[in-house]
Order: sequence, then C-alpha cells, then structure tokens
Amino acid sequence: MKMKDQAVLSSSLTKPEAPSRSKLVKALRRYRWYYLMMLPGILYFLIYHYVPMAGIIIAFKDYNLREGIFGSEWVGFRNFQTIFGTPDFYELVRNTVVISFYRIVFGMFPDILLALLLNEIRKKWFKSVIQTVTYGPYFLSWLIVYGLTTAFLAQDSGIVNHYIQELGGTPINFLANSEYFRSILIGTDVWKNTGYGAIIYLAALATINQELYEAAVMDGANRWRQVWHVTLPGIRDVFLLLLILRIGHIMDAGFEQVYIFLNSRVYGVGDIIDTWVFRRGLEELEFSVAVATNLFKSVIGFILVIGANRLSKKFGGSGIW
Amino acid sequence: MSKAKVKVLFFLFTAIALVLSACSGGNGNQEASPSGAASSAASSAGAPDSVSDSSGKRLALNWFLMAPANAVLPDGETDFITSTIEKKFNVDLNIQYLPGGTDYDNKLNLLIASGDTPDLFITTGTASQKMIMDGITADMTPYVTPEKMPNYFKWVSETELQRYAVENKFERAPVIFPRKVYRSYYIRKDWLDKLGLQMPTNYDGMMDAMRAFTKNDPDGNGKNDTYGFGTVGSGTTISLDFPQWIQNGLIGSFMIKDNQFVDVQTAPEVQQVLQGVKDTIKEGVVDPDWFLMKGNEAVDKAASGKLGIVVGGTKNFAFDSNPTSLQNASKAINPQADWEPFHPFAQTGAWTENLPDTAFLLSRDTAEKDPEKIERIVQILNWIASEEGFLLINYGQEGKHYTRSGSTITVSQANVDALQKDNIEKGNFMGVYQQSFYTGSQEADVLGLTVVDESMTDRDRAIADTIASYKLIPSIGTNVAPPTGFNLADYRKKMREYHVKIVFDEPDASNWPKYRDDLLKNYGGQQMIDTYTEQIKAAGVIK
Repeated sequence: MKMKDQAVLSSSLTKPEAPSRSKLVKALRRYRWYYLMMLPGILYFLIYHYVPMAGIIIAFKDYNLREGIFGSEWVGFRNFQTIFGTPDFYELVRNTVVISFYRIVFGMFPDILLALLLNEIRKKWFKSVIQTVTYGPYFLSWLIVYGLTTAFLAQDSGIVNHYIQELGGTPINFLANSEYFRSILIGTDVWKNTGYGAIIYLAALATINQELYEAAVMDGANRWRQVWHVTLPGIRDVFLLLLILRIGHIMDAGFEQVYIFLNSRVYGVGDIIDTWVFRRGLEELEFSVAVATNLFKSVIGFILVIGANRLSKKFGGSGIW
Repeated sequence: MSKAKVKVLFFLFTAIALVLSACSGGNGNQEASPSGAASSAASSAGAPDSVSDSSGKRLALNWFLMAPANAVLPDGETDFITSTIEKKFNVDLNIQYLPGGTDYDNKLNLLIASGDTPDLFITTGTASQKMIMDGITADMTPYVTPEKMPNYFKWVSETELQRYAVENKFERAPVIFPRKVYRSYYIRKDWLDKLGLQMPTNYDGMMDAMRAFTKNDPDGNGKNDTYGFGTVGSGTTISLDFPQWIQNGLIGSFMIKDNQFVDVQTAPEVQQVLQGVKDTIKEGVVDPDWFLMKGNEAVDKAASGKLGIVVGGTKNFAFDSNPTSLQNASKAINPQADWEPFHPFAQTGAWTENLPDTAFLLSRDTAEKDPEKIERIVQILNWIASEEGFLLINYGQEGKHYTRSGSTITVSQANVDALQKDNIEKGNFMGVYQQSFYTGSQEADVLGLTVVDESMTDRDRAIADTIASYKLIPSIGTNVAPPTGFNLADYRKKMREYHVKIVFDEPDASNWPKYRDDLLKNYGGQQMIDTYTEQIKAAGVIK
C-alpha cells in the first residue's frame, strides 16, 4: 500500500508538463476515500478548535452576557489597558514565570530519571509494580492532594509539625509561608506527575535500537558510558520536543493546583495570572478582561514556542516542525 | 484494501461525520439561543393574551437555590415541599442547589454565560449587581407588587425594596431575611466551672478565659491540647470573629460612626485591631490552624473538645433541641460539655442590625419568552411567603410535625422526632427552601403566630433570651453598590493581603497607615467609600 503511494507520487512528479489543476482533481479523485476519512478529524478541529477562536474578539469588546459575542460594544484596547494598569499585574507575571520555570526545571528531570531507573530494571514484574505505583498519584485530583498535604503540613494537626514539636522545635505553618509555598507546589507536582511523565520517556527508550548497546559493549562501554552515549542521545529529541511545548506554556503556571493551594499569606509569591483571571473573569463576570489576558498569554507563548523551536534547530535538534 | 472493505469504511466514517456534525449543530444552536430567545420573546411579548388562557398548562421551571451543606433533594413524594408546589401550581420544578460561596457564584455564572440562565435564582447582594448591569435579570415592576405578592410584603417593606434596587433598576428583591441577629460568642461553661472562672462579661474577662482554657488543661486529659478561641480564616482573611474588632469600636462590616460611613476593614482603627489579634495569637491562645480552616471546620473542632470559645450565627446553634447543634455534637464526645452564649460587648453593641443581603432574581430571557413562567413563579413565591408556605417550609406538615390551635403552633418532642426522620434523614430538603427563601430564619411573629416548641429545654430558652438581650447598633440603612469600573475583588484581595501580612509577617501593626494609604489611593478605596457615602446620603440615613 505504502509502496504504491510512493510510486504514484513519484510518477506524478516526473510529469511536470501536465496541467496542475487536472492533476489536483486526479489526486483528489484517486485518494477520495482517504480524504473522506480525514474529514471527521478536520471537522473536529474546525468546529471545536478554530471556530471558537472567533470568540477572541471579545478581548476588544465590553462583553455583555446578554448581548453575546457579536452584539457587545467594541472598546479597542481598553481591556488591555485595564490589565496592564492593574497594580499587581507585574507581580502576577513574575510569579507565573518563576513557578513555570521551576516546574520545567524540577518537573522534567525527575521524569527522565525515573524512566532511566525503570529502564535499568531487569525483573519485569518488579518494573510493572513500580511503574503502577508511581503512576497512581497522577489520577488523584488536586483537591485530594491538597488534603494529603494538609494532613502532613498543617500547623497544629499536621504530622510533620507533630514531629518538629516532639523534637523540641517550633511548628511552622508551611502552607501559609511565602518561603515554602513554591517548594510545596513543585514538590507535590513532582509527586503527582512524575510517574506519568516517565511513561513518555519509557516509550522513547523502547525505540532505541538494542544493537547500539551491543556495539557499545563491544567497544568496552560500561553502564554509565552506555547511558551517556546511547540512552540519552536516544531520548534527546523527545526531551527537546517536550521542552519546547512546555516553554510555550510558560504563562500557565498550573491553575488547578495553585487555585487550591493559594491563600492570602502567599499571594506575594503564589498568585498567578490564571488565578487573577479566575477571580476577575469568572467571579466578577468580566469576561473581556479574562479573554484579553489569555490572548496576551497566548501571544507570548506563541513567540516563545517559535523561538525555542528555532534555537533547537540551530543547535542540531529536530524541533517540533 | 478491497473495494468492499473501503465501502464499509466509507459508511462508517460518514456515520461518524454525521454524528459529529449533529453534535456541532446542537452546539451552534445553543450558542445562538440567546438571540433566538430574544426574537421569539419579542413575538410572544406582542401577544401576551395568547398565553393567559393556557394557565392550566404544566410548566417546567428551572431554579437555582442555595442549600445547607448537608442538603440533598430526594425524588418524589418524600420531598413534600417540592411535591406540594408542583401539585398546587401545576409545575415541574428542576432545582439545582449548592451551598452559598464562591463555588455557588461560579456555577451560576457559568450557567448564565452559557445561555442557560435559570428562571429563578438566588444570589448574594454583590453578585447580583453585575448581573443586573449586564441585563441578565428581568424588570420586577410588573411582578413583585403588593397586589401580586401580598404575602411577601408582610415580610419586606416597600422602602426596603426601593433601597435594595441597583442603579434605580428594580430587578432584584431580597429574600425574606431575619430581623433578629443571632450572632454570639459561645463558651464552654463546664470548662469555666472546672477552672473556677466566672462567665466573662467584658473583653478582659474573655481574654482571661481564653488563656486559662489554653494553659490550664480544662478537659483534664493531662495534655496541652486545647485552645481558648477558634475561628476560620478561609486562607484569606482576619475573621471578624476576633473580638478585637469590636473592642476597637468596629462593628459589623459597614457602620455609621459620628454621621460618617465606615468601611470597617479599611478604617484607621484597623491598626489597633491587627495589633491586638497579633498579640493574642502570639500568646498561643488561638487555634494555630485557624487561618487555613474553612467553612464549618472551627465548629467541628469545637465539637471535638479542642476549643473553648467560638462564634455561632444561628439561633439554635447550641440548642438541646437541635440535633445537629454544637451542643449535641459536643455531648456525643463529652457528656459534660455545656456551651453557653455570652458577649463581651453585649451592652455597648454586639453587631449591626440586619440589612437585606441575599437576593432573588428572575431571568430576563424567560420574562420575554415565557412571561407565564414568571407569573407562575411569582405566585409560588407569594405562596412561599404565606402562612401555609411558611409553616410547611419551616415546620413541616400539620398533624405530623406540629399541631395548631388558633395562632399557636405547638411542636412536641414526637413532632421533632418525626421531622428528624422525614427531613433530616431524607436529605434535609427543607433546608434548601429554608436557606433560599427564609435565609434560615423562622420569625413566626411576623405572621402573628406564636410557636411553642415543647422540645425546647429551659436551657434553650435561656440561650434565646440571652442573645435577644444584646444591643445592636443601627445598620447603614441601605444597600450600597460599588462605583462602576471599580474592582471590588482586587481591592478586598489587596486589603486582606495587607491585614494578613501585618498579623503574620511584620513585627507590629505600625505599617497599617501606609498600607491604608496605598489601598485608598492606588486601589480605588477612597472612590468606593465616597460612592457608598453618597448612596447612604441619598437614602437619607446620614447628612
């Protein structure tokens, strides 16, 4: 099947004198079943991903729930002025970027590490058990994770503070302390998501040609050398791909989690753009401001993805396209 | 791939495509529905007579109500309030309900934003303002009138209704709200007795009791595991339960002082309040977990015997006759437990008088498209406010849950047990109606009824009398709305952040004047205070 396709492709390429229009029709006719099969997918993206984008226009309108998207009044860049005029906006951007950055740095390496460790396990049953156990927390909602965190870290009733007191220390209100807040966010994130993140790398590791290892052994490479020269280069592309994608989301610092963990003592280090948008957009019904903020975020994300992709290609990686 | 197989595949994909496009079609319709609704509304508004003769038609009504946290509406006849309304008014009620709070507001906002505005919904005063400004709500002038809702106007006066309007639009009305204030401190009397202390009558006495409760092992278990006072900060705020607010002359959340409007949490005196709270916390007499605790957690902790003083807001908060009261919950753990009300500022002002807060609103879409639905809702609301509705919602069914002779309603212990079985154990569905339409109050005297609750003990009556004796200061007299363009959420967030910063992270409260300045100037606080002052002046409360 694949061979036939290639044959057709090359034969059509070798006849450049044919009029391009009829060639297109011919191609369309020839592959009509495939195009038909593509249709549902294309429709899905059009209907659920491209058409709703028209809603972006409310970033430039004073959205009124009753007038709807098209009936509301145009206000130009007023919503953006509101956003950038919010006294706390720069603090919000800073928190968002810092938390995202921590997530990238401290979130990606444990994934790789776990995948590498799992990859070295030779006993299949043991590997499966560990993988299942580490994958488990991924299915818990943040609300439950917060409950668990409180059970450990609450000032009066938490286990950790109980031991601190037993050992003669003063209890620390971890969850309401600016010094610990980001660490708790990242720590629980790593606990919850590492098992899931490792799966992608495990899949990449499985595609590495075993002959490469055999060759390395022949050349006298020990375990470490094998990891360095075979395994890591083997997952480099996946790593870069994920890195680029995550850089694109640098303005999303994990709303679900932060919203649940946030309290007013840690606003200074933990309040992010998304929690502000939630308070402002949904709780105060200012949808236009919310959309404008997200448009701003998307533009930044878009620029970053393009930039990261360029950089990746420049340094010899494959990039994402 | 054979031709037949390709054909099968083709049909499969066409089918999927059809299903998908059908879904998307439905989606498109939904998005378009607000405008579609408006156009059909215009046509039906032109011919209102055509609907009046079909008043016997069964209508489906969507309501969005506030509920107590433990409420679950059961199906069918079990819920005798819903089934009575459905039979009496020939309607099908589709009731969605949540406990009031952020989640409630968000759910409601989502419904409205997606074009599914409920026909009748309940919101807090603040949330209703934006909805009115955005034109979500129907004009109530033709509906909420003394002619159409005579029973409702027994509870709420026309002046109150006028002052409750937003920007002169009569699009919201308060649900029946309590005239009496039941807010009080409650203290473990048994602990006081054990430690040989008197019931505190002033601030210093209260602080002494808190200290003794923390340090002198009032529960006698040999462990240092009790605290004098507990409250909830919900992770955001310095609770108004802290007695330091009133100690510094700040009562309620808004007040009038020397003919001036005061936003309590922005006042200059907040400096002394925060200093006081800070010192109290430092003494170790406040439950250290208070700041992150939410909702009912402090009361639960009090019930488990860890706290000596908490604030209760409802009449039967510590009644023997209320099976879910703090008193009964505590007794289940320690039979000696005895919660008694007291207030250190009982003589000088314990709280402000009540203003209407929770509003009911009607959907404008429904009013334009299906005015008969609104008419029917208004009839139902009028019935809810009637004697019959009041009794059914608050006391249950006659003969089963209370007996009546003349204007005296008698509730015996057997009645209480029956109600426990028929309501509380069936999901507390009455709570949904009580909370939504009576703000949880049962002021039968408004209807000229006397309720004799035989299950109430002498202790319960003593509690009620004590709380009734607290002095209340006048309210600000009218509901106020923040200026347009002012973002109240951002303002309060910053304000709380400063409060919390001072209490937890700064050596003393000396930075408050600086922070207050920032709030007033950079976060629009002055503008808010000025606007509120104007509105209160316009209502004639201050000069």
